[in-house]
Amino acid sequence: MPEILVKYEDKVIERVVTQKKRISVGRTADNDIVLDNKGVSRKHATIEFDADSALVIDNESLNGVFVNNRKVTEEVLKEEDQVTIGKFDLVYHPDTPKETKLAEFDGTMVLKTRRQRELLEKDKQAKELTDLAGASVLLGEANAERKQYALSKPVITFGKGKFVNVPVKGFLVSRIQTKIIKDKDEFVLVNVGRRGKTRVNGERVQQYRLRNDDLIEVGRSVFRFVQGSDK
Amino acid sequence: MRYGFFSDVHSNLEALNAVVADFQNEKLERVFFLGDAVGYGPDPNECTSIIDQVADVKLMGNHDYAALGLIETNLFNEYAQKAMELTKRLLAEKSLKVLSGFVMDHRFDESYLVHSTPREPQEWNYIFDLDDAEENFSFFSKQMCLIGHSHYPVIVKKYNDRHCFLHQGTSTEIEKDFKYIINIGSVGQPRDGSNQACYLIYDAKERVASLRRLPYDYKKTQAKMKKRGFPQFLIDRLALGR
Repeated sequence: MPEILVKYEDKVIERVVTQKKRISVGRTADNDIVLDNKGVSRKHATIEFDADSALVIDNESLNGVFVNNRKVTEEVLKEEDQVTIGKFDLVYHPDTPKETKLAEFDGTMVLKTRRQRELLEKDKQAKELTDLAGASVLLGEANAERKQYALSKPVITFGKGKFVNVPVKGFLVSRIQTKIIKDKDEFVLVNVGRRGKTRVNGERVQQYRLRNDDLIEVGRSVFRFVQGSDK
Repeated sequence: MRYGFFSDVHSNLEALNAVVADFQNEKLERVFFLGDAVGYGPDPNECTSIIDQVADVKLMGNHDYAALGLIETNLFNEYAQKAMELTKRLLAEKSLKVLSGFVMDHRFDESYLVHSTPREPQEWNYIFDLDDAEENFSFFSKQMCLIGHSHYPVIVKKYNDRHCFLHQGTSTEIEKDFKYIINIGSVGQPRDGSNQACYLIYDAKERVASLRRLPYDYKKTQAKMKKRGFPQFLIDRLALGR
């Protein structure tokens, strides 16, 4: 992954390791690399990354962009090239392992980091929800008629027809576009409509065994699957 | 003035002896212990006694806390639970008294010392990544926060209000306008891929903090662990440093 070292008065003040194809550099807080200095324009420059190179582009800034002390409007960056913007220097490294790990995930204690706390809280809410419904639940996330649907029947239908369990929106959606079929303790999602599409976590599917927290899209309607302890 | 900071001895006498000998060679002014004298290893009484003698300040770790019965070991992973059962059986009354004098945190010169995290010292959370580090920077006002707990030595820097980042290298100058979280690693059970004991020296005159590594006779420790019935996983990991 490419890395940019941000230097100020010859000191490294930040390391930016990015997976993005393009990052913005400028004075305002909405930039990927913020250089808070009056000599820096609000949207001063853009850096685009390729597999093993990068291109810096001056966004017609007031004070310009310099690469290895030469003023440029666009320049391909090589390893260790130094981009000067205002009082800051950005040093480019094409491939640095993303070292953000500060510990092995096998401490003595049961994990209680912030993310772990968030996960536990989410899990607790999901459990309360499914306990209350007495079944696994679909949560309406977008273009859904209801906030939640209990999956308490052997078959649940999605579509534009009158008698479906879960009405959905979308131009190409069939009267019955998708079904969720209960298979023992599990749920199988089946796309049955001809023209409309069913997606799970962004991928188009014909048949799919649902897992907790899957995001289901039927046409333009979006639902989240919350697995209960249905027996 | 040069100071030593060591942590996570975990009843490993051979590793502790190597580190204490190094304190003397390095002519350190004072040494500070950052917690977890016991747990995992075969010699809790010997280690507790040595730490009590050499360290000017002794912090509480989660294993010390558990040995004193102040937290339930059901929060521990299975190997740590088993090791804690053995530790409690081995620990003498005198050692328990020493452990009970350990403190949760300490402020010294430009540093704040705590075993787990500055945010919640008694929750025994970990700093696993830069996001965890970022949120902990606002919970101490000194320039440096020295921690142990994860057995993984790292130096994280933060310049004013910019994003924190991982320092590359095992030594750093403590510079103006920067704050630091430094994990000083583990004496008795390193987990960063090296089987050498780890501790930190801070040179207050030069303003340089350096992580030191020292080889020790881990095979001797392993043999004692085997004899005293410690889990094989804990014995193996001393050689691997994982």
